[in-house]
Amino acid sequence: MLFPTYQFLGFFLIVFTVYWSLPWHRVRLSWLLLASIVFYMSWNPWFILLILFSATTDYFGALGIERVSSPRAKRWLLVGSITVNLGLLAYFKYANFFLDNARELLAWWGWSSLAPTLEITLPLGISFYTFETISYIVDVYRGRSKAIQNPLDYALFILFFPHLVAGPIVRPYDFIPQLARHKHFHWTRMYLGVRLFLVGFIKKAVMADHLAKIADPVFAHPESYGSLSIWAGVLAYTIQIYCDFSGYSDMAIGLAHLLGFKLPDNFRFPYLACDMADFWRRWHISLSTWLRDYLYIPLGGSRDGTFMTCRNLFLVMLLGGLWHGASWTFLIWGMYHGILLVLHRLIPWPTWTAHRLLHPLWQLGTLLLVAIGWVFFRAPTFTAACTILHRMFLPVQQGSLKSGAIALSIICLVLVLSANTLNERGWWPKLERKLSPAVVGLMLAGLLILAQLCFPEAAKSFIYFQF
Amino acid sequence: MRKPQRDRHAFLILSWFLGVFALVQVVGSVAFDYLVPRVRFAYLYRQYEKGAALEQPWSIVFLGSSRTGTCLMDAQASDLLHQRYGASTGEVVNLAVPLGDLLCSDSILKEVLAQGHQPRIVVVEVCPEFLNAHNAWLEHYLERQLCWHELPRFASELQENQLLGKMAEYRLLPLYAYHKGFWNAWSDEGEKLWKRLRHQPTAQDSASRRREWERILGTFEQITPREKEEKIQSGLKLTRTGLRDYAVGGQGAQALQNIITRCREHHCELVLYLPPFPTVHCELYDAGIEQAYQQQLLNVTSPSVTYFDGRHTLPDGLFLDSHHANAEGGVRFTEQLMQHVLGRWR
Repeated sequence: MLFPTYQFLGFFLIVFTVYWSLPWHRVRLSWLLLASIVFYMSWNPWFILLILFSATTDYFGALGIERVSSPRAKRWLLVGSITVNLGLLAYFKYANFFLDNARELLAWWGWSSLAPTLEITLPLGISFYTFETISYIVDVYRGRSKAIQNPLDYALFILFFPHLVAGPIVRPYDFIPQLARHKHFHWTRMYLGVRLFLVGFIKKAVMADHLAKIADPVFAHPESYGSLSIWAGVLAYTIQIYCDFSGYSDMAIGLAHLLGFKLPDNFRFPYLACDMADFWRRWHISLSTWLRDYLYIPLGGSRDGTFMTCRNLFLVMLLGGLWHGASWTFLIWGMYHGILLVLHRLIPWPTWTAHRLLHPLWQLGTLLLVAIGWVFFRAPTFTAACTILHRMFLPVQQGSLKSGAIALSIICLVLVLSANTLNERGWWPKLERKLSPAVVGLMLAGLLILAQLCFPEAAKSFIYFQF
Repeated sequence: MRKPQRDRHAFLILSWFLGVFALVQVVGSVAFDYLVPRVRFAYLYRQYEKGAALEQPWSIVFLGSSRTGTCLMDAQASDLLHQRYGASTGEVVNLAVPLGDLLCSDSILKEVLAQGHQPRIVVVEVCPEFLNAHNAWLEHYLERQLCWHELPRFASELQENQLLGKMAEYRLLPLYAYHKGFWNAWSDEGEKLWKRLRHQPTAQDSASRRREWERILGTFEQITPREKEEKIQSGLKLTRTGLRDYAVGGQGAQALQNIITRCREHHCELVLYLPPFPTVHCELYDAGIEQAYQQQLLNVTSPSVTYFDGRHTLPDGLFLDSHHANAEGGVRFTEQLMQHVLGRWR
């Protein structure tokens, strides 16, 4: 059930209407839980059992951690719970990756292996909810959060359908307190929710899905395209992945607002970042802060000198890359970002480089570096990624995309950067305050009509659903 | 701004948003029905334009589905007409459209007559599945031609065919439902302007029209035997669906009556014809279906409404799939049908 479909619209209208019609807070939460289960089961009914198993392990693990007094027992409970969660993730996401590589390695040494490729379907959202359950159990272990007593509350924290399949990755201390508060219907919040959903919908339907038509053929057959088309394809993907993922996040946050919940921001104009560290403070914020809090800091963070800091940065980005998918290209993408972060840390930037006038230059440079990284992220194989990079930097005259496609990539890039710049400067809230409700309403209606007219023929799934 | 004020402000914004959005949908829906129908059925309007580019008036009009598109060659038919009755006898125009049934043909005929054309003979494709009370083509009529004023008449049939959801989409969210047609209409206008500027003709020759049909039906140029078999099976499945719970009646039979009435009112000869079919297709018409169908034809035929049964006129080797003639089949069948049609020339 994708967000921009009639099926989801019908589902959400029922959930929304019943939710706000119910006068009792606990019944509303139960209704949301039921809706979330139905939402998840619409993909694969059996995998709900997997989430429930994972959630039950952590629920009882957290209760156990709070009840036992021995630090050793607490640690065992923590390790046990994390092992179960990571074990499931490892099996469903990485088993075939390791088996395939082991087989190739053995073949390289001249041994034939009988290890089969397993028929495994990746459960939707497993990477996201696994991180949520881990953050919960770790927070309870650290004493940062209390263990949730009510299993329904815990189940809703994990299963709440707006963030279930592709984030934002919600922290228990952000979400759990919201469950305790009785919700009141506010038009302000409804407006905020509708506006966010609409913006996300435009990003996904109008921008991302159309740009996919430019990027897909270039990444599928890079050897058939000349340098200009390759650049257009890479630019198209750079904008596509931003619009796709931030569009999903906007829709998720908007839907949560419509139900009276607040989810954390996931993007803060990442393509306006002035350096790579800044980029990671703006891109997939819920993942980068998770990696910081549950991996980087436990590894030592920046406390043990430059070498250890660089090692930690590199390791975190490497694992971040692997989190995205079981493939060497993701691993290389993670390494690439790790190296860039290490370099950013090691280079002694003179103070004049921070001058405001130079910002556009750094922004452009960072965007270029990020776009190069996306080549590894998107390319189906390492060889394809190398072909693309080769053609990006060594001009090749060959088959070309239509000039309209190249122009569309550039127009979308300019549109996204302009919109982000204006938004970062708080342009919209300022303008909104000055305009009458009729004009704002007209603008929103215009946006939705534009989305209707530009809706792609076949709606594509969200990129991050595969992770 | 205080909280109650903010809430009121947000309420007003949402009211305007939903109000304007709904209004635009309603206006769009009415406009697509009555002002710019091309958005809903671009293919048909392109055919009108190609017909309008002809130098002579339309004297014979072919109406029907892709079967008519592939088995009747209008340029060849025009040549046959000119050979027999002289060069100034007008043109033959093929207004066949993909997935066109009798409802569609009736609607097109109405529009053709409203545009001021006065064909002497109207040739309409008819077959058992078109006259079935259960109309398998209703969804396409709903999408392309059904207008607001026809809704009450079709309401029960739409409900029976479980098309109320689709109907709601086409009626209430037309800018989404027809967004592709909307852009196609703009592109068509641009193309027309471009051709006008370059003084290029709009009319098509038979070969390019043939290619266009084959493109619509899926390319047949390098088709493997397996792919051909798949096409045959999917064509047979479509016909079986059209023959489900067979009973003559419903909107299809009513449309045939409308066509007869229109032709009578405009003094046009009407030729109903059953297209050529290969054996596998003919076998789908069992005795019960055949009897009900023939009875209906007996009821409607008269001196000015004749019927030509073309089902066994071509050998099985001259078909692209289970119901579309290939290029050679088209040439042969055009010749045979035109002998009957030209016999009706007054």
